Amino acid sequence: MGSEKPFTLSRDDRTLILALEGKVGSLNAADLLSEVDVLLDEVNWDGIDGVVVDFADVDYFGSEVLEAILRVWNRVHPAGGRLAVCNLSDVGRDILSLSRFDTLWQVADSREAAVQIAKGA
Amino acid sequence: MTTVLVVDDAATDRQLAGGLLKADTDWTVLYAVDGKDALREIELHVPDIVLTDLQMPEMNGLELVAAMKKGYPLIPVVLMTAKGSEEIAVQALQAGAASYVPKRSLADEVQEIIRRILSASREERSYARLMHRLSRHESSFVLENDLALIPSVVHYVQQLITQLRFCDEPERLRIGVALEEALLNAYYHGNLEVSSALRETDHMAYYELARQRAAEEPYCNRRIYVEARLSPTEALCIVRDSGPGFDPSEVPDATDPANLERPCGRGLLLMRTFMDEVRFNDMGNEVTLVKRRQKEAHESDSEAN
Repeated sequence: MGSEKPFTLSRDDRTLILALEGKVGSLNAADLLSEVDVLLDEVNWDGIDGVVVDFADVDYFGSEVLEAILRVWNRVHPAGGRLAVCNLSDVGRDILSLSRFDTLWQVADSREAAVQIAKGA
Repeated sequence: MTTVLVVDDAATDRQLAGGLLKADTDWTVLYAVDGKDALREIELHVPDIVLTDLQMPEMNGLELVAAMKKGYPLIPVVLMTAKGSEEIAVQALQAGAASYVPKRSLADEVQEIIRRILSASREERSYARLMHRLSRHESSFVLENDLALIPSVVHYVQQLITQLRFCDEPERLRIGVALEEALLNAYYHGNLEVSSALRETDHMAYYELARQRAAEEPYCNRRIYVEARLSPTEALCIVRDSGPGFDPSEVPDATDPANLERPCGRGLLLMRTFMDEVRFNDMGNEVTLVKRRQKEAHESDSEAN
């Protein structure tokens, strides 16, 4: 199994969008957190008001992915930033609900809706 | 008797393809004018194979391939390509079409390609029929400390669950999450004895320590033992590591708001929530995960009466 890039990045004005790639799971846990650390170091967070995490390509995920998103949240939230997740599968919604992260992050049905949430609209 | 469905919005192309398919064969040929029409024909007649044009109104060849992958995954689709449709053909092949034949080569190649795809498809269908009759399966694995093996084991068990028709797709995914968490616990905390406390303070050090220990004695000699016992009514997985074990009652409650942002306990929470039963041995180095098949509503009603 070759290494898959854990996510792709894009921006919508002052909103950072992380689209999780493929089967982000245990195999990529260390890689995922490594990439998140790089992201946290390299992005100019002064120019970011919110983050969207798009799960469109991910059927299910485990605690390691939650950990990765939490790191991003811990960077953006203290400065008043927002984080929204979108395009979760039914199982993904269960995972977020069980782990109670849906009390921290808003869940949207689409990327567009998530971007609006992240912008504070 | 082989039945081929030809899908093309051009009447002359349909007739040409149909004529070539019927020449010197006893095949039955059906026709449809576009993807939507094709799906209606497939529902009525269930052909053995579909030969489709790509650029059509209403529903094009790519959309038809996607719809068939979902609704009729065992009926192969062969594309008829023409100049200008190369890009959509590539997409359709990536989406699951079995093969393609250029329209200019139809006379020379179409029968041979259809025969070849049908032969492979029949073997696949027979195998699928057999697997749907699988009544029980037991597997045992002995894994060395290799993270790459974990998703493979999860995928293997999920495939068996599909073949046994044990549960629906969301439930199958949940079982996969639970099993993966159990295997990760066995790997990191069991065999490599890397503590969650380290992950809380420095996750890079956590993974670096795991990487180092995976290559050092005694950790590198430890194994993860996996047993899967599956039947149409129950899925049971046992995961045992070779480490010293732990006390599950000492794991922080991940649902406690005070622990929301701590990494420990989430895996166990997912296991306990997604499975009907999670039990540890006394030592804490073996976990048994059990999922029982949910009864359909009509089965429950029958029993009640």
